[in-house]
Amino acid sequence: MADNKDDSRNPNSEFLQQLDAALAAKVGVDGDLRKILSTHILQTVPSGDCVAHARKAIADLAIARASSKTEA
Amino acid sequence: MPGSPIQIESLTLTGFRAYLELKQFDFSKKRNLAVFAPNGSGKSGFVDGFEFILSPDGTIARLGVRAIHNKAGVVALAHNLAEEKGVTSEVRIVLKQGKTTHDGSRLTSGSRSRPPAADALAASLHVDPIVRGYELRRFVEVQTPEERYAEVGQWLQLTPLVEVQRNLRSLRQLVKSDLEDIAPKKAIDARLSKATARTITEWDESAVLTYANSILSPLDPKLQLSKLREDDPHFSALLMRAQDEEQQIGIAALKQIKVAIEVVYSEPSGSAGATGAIAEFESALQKRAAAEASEQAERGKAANAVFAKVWDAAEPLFAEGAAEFEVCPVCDTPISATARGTREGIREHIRLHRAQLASYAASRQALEDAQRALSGVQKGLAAKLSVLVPLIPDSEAKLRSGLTTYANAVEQWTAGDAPDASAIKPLLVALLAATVGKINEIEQRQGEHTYARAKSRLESLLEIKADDEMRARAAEELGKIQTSLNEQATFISSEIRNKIQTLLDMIREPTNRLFKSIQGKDATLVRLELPAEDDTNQQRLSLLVDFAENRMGVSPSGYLSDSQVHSLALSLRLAAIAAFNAEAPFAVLDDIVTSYDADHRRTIASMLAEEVPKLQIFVTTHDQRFFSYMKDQLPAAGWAFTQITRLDRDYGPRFADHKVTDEVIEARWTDGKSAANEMRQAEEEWLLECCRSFGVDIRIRDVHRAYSYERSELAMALAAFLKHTGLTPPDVPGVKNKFLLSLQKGEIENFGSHFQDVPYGDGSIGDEKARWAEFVFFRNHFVCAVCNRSKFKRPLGLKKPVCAHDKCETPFQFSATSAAGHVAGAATK
Repeated sequence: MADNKDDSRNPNSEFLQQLDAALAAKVGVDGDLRKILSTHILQTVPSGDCVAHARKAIADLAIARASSKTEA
Repeated sequence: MPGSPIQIESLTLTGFRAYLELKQFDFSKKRNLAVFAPNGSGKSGFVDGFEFILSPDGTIARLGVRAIHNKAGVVALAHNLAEEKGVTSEVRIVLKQGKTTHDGSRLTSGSRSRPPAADALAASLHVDPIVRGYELRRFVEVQTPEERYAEVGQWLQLTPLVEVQRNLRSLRQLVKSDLEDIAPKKAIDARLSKATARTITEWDESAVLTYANSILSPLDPKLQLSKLREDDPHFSALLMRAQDEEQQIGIAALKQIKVAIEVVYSEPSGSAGATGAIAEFESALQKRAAAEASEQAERGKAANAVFAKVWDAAEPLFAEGAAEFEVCPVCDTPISATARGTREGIREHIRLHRAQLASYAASRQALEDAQRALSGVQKGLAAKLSVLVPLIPDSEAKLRSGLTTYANAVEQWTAGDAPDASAIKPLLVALLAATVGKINEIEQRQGEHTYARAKSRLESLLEIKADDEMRARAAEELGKIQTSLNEQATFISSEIRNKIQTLLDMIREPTNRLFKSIQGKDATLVRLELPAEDDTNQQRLSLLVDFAENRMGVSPSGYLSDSQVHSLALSLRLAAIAAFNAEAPFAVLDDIVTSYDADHRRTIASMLAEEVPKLQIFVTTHDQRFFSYMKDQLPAAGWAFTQITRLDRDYGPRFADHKVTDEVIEARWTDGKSAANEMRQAEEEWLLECCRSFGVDIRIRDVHRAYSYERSELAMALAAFLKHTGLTPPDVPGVKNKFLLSLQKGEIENFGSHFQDVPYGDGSIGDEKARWAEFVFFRNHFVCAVCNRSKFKRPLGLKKPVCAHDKCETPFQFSATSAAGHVAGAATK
């Protein structure tokens, strides 16, 4: 049902944007991680491999943080 | 099509499924329709028409996908005679929104593209409006809580949010598995194992340090690391020694010198003579000198070379067996006048001089070869000396100086006395011996170990250590991110769940209202709950019915009866359709009462009438009783009733009026089929109509059975009314019992007619016809004595019914004469 809905009119997009903003406003939230979720997951039309992309971004973030500690 | 809700004006089937000829279902006057038909008579084709024209891919689910030897699939959408009869197989729908009408048709062949009108209709639907009885309970019983959650998400138009939750859940699981993944550590361990020759298979700082020191011990027992770090002083010492080694102090450099001397000059013990490039050069010089001497010795013979061509030309002329001649053909001298005097003498002269010339040529060639070989050896010697000279240690200054002089002489020498190597040969022999001695001494002490190799191996261990530390730190950071991910995912998911729960609450109340309407006022409330958030059940929807105080929250499928499960599923679907398909509020209910007893069939008909008035509803059923209940309870103003009397293969389903007419019954007999059910139905319809028009008194039933009456109740009420008003129905010729008496006894359920006490014969068509004629005879007494109309009314205040015709209104009374005129073909009018 409702198989040809125009997604641009989907109110879910607005809801997800509000969710992202609410998350950003929370104290102590990991901002880098939030950006990853916002970019890849909090989408009304996510890419087919959005989870894989988010997973790689998280792994890269962990390595970057580990490297920066080494350099420090 | 924004704005007013969409209403379906008509559905037309042509060459589609069982419908060969065009059949239009018109909903413009009565928006709702109930269709009764026995199984296999084309009833489902009506429902299939809706499914087909709405489906995204132009098919219907129950046909499945066509396979080899399988006649299913889209081919089965068209009537099997459509092509032969030249009928275009299609479904047409007409929609109305406000004052605007939209229509479109969809072919069952070709691209089967959906018309824009159906596109718009499909886009307005969030809950599947087609409810089939056999799959109704799937939501309650078969679907997992996760599947239910996804389906409700779709109903609520929140599928993208449900997808967000699902993706978050997958991401959390993947990050968790990354944290638990031991592959990176195993890769480090594999490298360590290889670097330590399988001595250490798993990283152990202490063991690796011991192994590193075991590498250094053969080189210098005092060179021991206290920690496996680059800033350990002994590691710095190792680096310096390796550097020294590279600067030719170590065994590698000594071996390099040894090899360089050996290729230049050496006097191996046990060998016949010296070897090396100098020896080869001197040998080549000797060979060239010998070749020169030989060539000089032969050179005198070269004077005769000027005659070589003459001899070449003359040799075949004077060969043995050649033609005889007296005068030399070359110089035109008589043979006898030549110095040799005879042919044999000339032949021997030629052979001797040719042999001398060949010997000279050979010596010339040997000299050229010797010169060429000498030149090559000279170049090789110069090259090898250029390698050796830089390797000679500073301590051997005399040798280096001698070698340099000799090397220059070799390089520049072209002729004359050869460069003299006599002074450097003993020095080279001595240096080679000393170098070999040093090599042996070092090898005795440290074997094959070198500082450079030790440095390389220790650096490899340090690199593995650094990678392992990086891996551990990255894992630690990933663990922290995982904690944050769980917090953020929980926040996001709970917000989505709150939104879904809020919308779920929209259908909780109507679901329960419908459920109670079917199951009775004492039915336990149903709860639609999303369980508490955790890792494993983020996306579940539980249906809970607290049927007992000590069984709170138990899933309903385990203890509800078939009827209750069915009612719950039907209530949910109708509530969801009403709540979320507001833009196109209609439902198609296909055989939904299979699990119900008679009372519940009545209550479902009641529910349709009272609880979902905003929906446009199309019902199909093969259950005649349910159909009767609907006719009895649903408002005639909004509902049309029809039934399929038979399926004509060359035409399609044949429909009749909602009431069983005499023609319907005749048609059954024409087809050789029993009409017992139809007769009973016709009798019931007449009885109900009669009771209504006469205004009989009947006991008000309890609320759950408020809308339908058993025939016995009606018969008793009519009999009481006739008796009270002094109206005595006439006897029916040929039977012993009076009709009403039979009805009162309730003996009409299981046999073809009700005109006798005992069950009715063998139910043959002949008997049915006889009994039907008796009923028609009886029925025909209920006509106006004046105008012969069969509709009556009894306004309040009147004791007896009167003719319903405004201009007649004659009080009703039985009249044998009036009945007699209506025996033939009299049907309920």
